[in-house]
Amino acid sequence: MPPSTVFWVVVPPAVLMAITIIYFVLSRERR
Amino acid sequence: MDPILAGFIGYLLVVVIVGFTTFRFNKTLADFLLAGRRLGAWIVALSERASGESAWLLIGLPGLALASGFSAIWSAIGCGAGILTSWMLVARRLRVQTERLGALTLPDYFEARFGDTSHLLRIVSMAVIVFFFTFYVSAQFLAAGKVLNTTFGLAPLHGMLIGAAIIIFYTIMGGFLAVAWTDLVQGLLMAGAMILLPLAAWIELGGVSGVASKIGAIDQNLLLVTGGQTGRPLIMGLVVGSLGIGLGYVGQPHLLTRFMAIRHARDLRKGTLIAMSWVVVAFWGAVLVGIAGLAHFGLGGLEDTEHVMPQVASLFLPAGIAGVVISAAIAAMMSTADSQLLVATSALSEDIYHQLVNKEASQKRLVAISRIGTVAIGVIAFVLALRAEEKVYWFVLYAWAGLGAAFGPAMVMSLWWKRTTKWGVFAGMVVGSTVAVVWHNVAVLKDAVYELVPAFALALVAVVVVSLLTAPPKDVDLSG
Repeated sequence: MPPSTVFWVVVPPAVLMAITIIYFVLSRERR
Repeated sequence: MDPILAGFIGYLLVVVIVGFTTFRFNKTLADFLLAGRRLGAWIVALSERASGESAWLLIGLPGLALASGFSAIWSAIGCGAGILTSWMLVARRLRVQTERLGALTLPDYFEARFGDTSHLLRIVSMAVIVFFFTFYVSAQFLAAGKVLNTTFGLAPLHGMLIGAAIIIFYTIMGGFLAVAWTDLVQGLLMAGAMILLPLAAWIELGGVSGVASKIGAIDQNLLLVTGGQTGRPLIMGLVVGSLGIGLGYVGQPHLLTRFMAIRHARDLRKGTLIAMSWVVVAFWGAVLVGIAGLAHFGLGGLEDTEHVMPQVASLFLPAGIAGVVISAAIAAMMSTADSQLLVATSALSEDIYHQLVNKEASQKRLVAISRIGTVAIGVIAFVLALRAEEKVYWFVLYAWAGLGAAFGPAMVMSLWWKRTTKWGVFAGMVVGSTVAVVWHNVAVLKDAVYELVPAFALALVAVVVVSLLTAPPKDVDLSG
């Protein structure tokens, strides 16, 4: 498998999940 | 009995039971159109996802991967980014604003947000919704006919009749609550299918190295995410066009209403996590299914590329499980059609009847009118599907682009920019829908890039420029 293909298959979903988790943590309501 | 048929009948029984059990929960129009804003994070997240992805995800995307190899990944990336943007930028503010303004539908929201007593925004947005959604639902019925035809050999007409009758039945019975609960089942089924199937197929084909060597033997370019293209076709056609599909999410009324139905705005952060986990599993799974099909059947190995998912399921899974996985494609179609049917219904019952004809109507009457409206739009969509045949299917492309460009920029700007005016939003809706339709019909333009990209960009410019040219609105509280 060409490395560039592995990169584009693996990295974008990891980035999407990373942004989601950061958003999840930062949007917590402060009491 | 054929295990595939048994799986499908079991699935249909579940949705019919949901229809009966949710019937008694619909006492007011807010119940019928938004499940009384009482839904939890799981159900809203899976309902938004199941409604957002029609049979295109489980049938079309694997077909694209079968025909073009790894370059199909761009569609998954574009959609994933669009869905995340919608959950992060639109969900919370829309939920808070619509409750503050007492809005049940998007036309309600636009009218109340800008204090538009002339009803201009309501009428334009309602017209865009009724027009595009009748065709949209109709295309889903056609897809039902196609899937039931290829799976069980039913005549397409009979498949369409069965699909349409069941969707209309449980939507009339249970309204949004029935639609959301069936979406939950359908969403889980779709994700489960897209985990199990690629895993089974890839292991059977010898893992990553086995799949890579089989595809490499056909054509090395199929292994590249560029598909071997370079220059303008690569950037404009493949990358921008595929990523551009994702722009549509922030403007789809049947998805935005999901955000409005959640019990507490704070639950939307959990919903984002659930929805995005689903996206990664389902979209990447769908591409990997198509790639497995490409490794096994080769280019041109299947007469119709859209048969790849059912074929891969039948080959690599035990018959009973393959039946459930193929049912997921029907579930995908039904979960999209029911939500679209309900949005079109809301345009009739809330936006026209309640707001413009009879403001004093009782809740009982409004629910009854909604049920009649659901049947009426369902029947019109069915007749259209009968008459227009394949052509309606193409209308999905207009509808996605038209709705995305008409409502997307108007929605995002109205939620985030206080300076947005009624006339800015009006201009955005008109420019977005018009450019989408015109671009799609001019071959030179259409070949250059997917119509949603220019339509969205120009609509955004229209909202901003016209808002700045018109008198500033009164100060509004946009906090979410």
